[in-house]
Amino acid sequence: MGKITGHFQLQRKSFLLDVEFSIPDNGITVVFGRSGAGKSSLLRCIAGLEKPQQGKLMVKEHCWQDADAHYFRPVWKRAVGYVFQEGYLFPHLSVKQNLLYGYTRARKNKRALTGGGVDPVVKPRDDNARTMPSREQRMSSRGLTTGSRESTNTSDISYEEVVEYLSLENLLKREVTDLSGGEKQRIAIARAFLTAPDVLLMDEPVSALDEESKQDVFTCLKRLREKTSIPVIYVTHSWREMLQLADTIVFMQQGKITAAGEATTLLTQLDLPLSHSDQASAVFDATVTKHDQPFGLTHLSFSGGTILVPFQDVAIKTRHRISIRARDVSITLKKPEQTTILNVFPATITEIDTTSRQSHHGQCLVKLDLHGTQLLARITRQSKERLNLVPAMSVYVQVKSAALRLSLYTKEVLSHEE
Amino acid sequence: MSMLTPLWISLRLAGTTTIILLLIGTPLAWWLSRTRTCFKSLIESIVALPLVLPPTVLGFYLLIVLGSGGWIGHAWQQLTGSSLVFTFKGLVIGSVIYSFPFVIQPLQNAFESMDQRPLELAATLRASKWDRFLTVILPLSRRGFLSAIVLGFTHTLGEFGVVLMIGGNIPGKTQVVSISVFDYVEQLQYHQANVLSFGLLVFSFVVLLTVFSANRFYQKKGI
Repeated sequence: MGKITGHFQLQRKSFLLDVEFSIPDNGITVVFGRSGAGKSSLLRCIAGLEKPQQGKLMVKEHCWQDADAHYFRPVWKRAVGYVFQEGYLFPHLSVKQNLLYGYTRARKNKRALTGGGVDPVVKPRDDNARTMPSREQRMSSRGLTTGSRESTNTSDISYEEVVEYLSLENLLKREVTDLSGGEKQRIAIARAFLTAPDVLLMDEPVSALDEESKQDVFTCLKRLREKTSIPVIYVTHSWREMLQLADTIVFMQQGKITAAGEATTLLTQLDLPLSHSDQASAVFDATVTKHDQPFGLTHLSFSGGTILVPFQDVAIKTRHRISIRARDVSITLKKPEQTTILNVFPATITEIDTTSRQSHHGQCLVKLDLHGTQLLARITRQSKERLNLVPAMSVYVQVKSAALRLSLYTKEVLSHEE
Repeated sequence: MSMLTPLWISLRLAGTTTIILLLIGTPLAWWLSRTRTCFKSLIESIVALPLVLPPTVLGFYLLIVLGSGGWIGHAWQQLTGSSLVFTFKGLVIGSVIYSFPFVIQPLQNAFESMDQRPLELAATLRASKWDRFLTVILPLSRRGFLSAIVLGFTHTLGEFGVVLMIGGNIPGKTQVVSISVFDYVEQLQYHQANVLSFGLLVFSFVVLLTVFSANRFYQKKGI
């Protein structure tokens, strides 16, 4: 099936957005980068809120714009859902009217558009067009593995379903101006979903919220994505959100995409800046196998073995995202017998990066393979020399349970897929 | 002829003028609030002229342009065979020009203070341009519209100089309240002058009270 592909050149006073991208049409793609890297501009270009001088955008089989053909589909004719940072609700409408604003219009437009003839003549996709950075190709692999769910993409989701799903019933009676930030954002997300978009664009949707509200918004997002598999493009500068949500990462610096690919591989690629950040982490998905109530631990299994985390109130057999920071991982040559650390796994060193970066002088990065799961460890160069670590060596890695972070954004329940 | 006839003419004149001003003023105010053209200041100055000109000066020029010798008046005469000056139509044209800034400026302020966000959001929620105007811009700038309507209406109601110059003072046709009051006073008929004046005073007060209360209500709602 189609992806979301295109390129934009947008010139602003002292800023140039120059990107070429190909985003899978399922899962969550996190556009990650510092403030001012052009993440929001990219999102606005996709929505049609900016009109770049040069650009082309294909969403699935539809052409949304093509500067060469002088075609620009206006925002309101694009099947996008857009969630702004502050969760804006129309103050002159009730909560229910807010939810229905896009819903009724999208349905009306759809009926009007089914007559066809909306797209201009779409040229065959030119696959030889400017290719992305080389890792780009990997992005497609994920799309293939879970392709079976794509058919639900366009399915409509009814108003009643959404209200019930997100337990919005008690918010419907409230005044828009009386709602908290988190409540507003939940309604804004529901409102965007109700237009049955081909892609949901989210611009730092939780950056202004407290931890608890963030959790609510993530839960809300997760519930809706269980129902429909609309692809999400999520802009954030927060490592934490990125680690929790990303299936795919698009990394932006100074108006350009400098890396893109599957989260699990991209994060641990030593030739990319992400792995050299202070926050550098590896992510993988693990399945809950049991709860150890007396010790307050939850067991999860992944390719490298069983990992223990502080007790989490999650169901057995559910899959969760786990992220491990490079600086929380240590390496030993022999299996430690007497240690306070619970999580010890056999691993193989695949790569070592000793190029010193200013902030991490005297340290080096070690990439490890745990039967298919990639981990990063940041250790001192002195330790590396002392243990004589080299690629292909078999070692043991230790991870502190307390340092582990379980994603707030729970992945889909496994039993549903079985 | 009833003493209330001038009042009726005044209300009809103010009402017609306000409606015409809203129809012309809304798109112009919207354009002025969004444009970056270098002519913006020029147009704003022209729009604001009636604020500073003495009404008699404005009335004088209108008389010349609308009169049978003036180019508008002449064209009108050719088209319809009737004159513009000293008629109700002529009064409406004069009032529209005279009250122009009182409608344009509140609207332009309302549009300028409006955030881009609700409009962008409505667009992503599939609302076309016209749809956005009706369902987002209008309701969100209703305080501006309220001010524009009230100022346009009451200002037309109170005009004197322009009306006198181009409307003459024809009872039953172009004699409005303000002129009627002046006439009564000149004829030392203070009682009649007082009835009309007091009626207008009460009317104006009630209108303003309603508007300020409504404003407060919307302000509380955060609109």
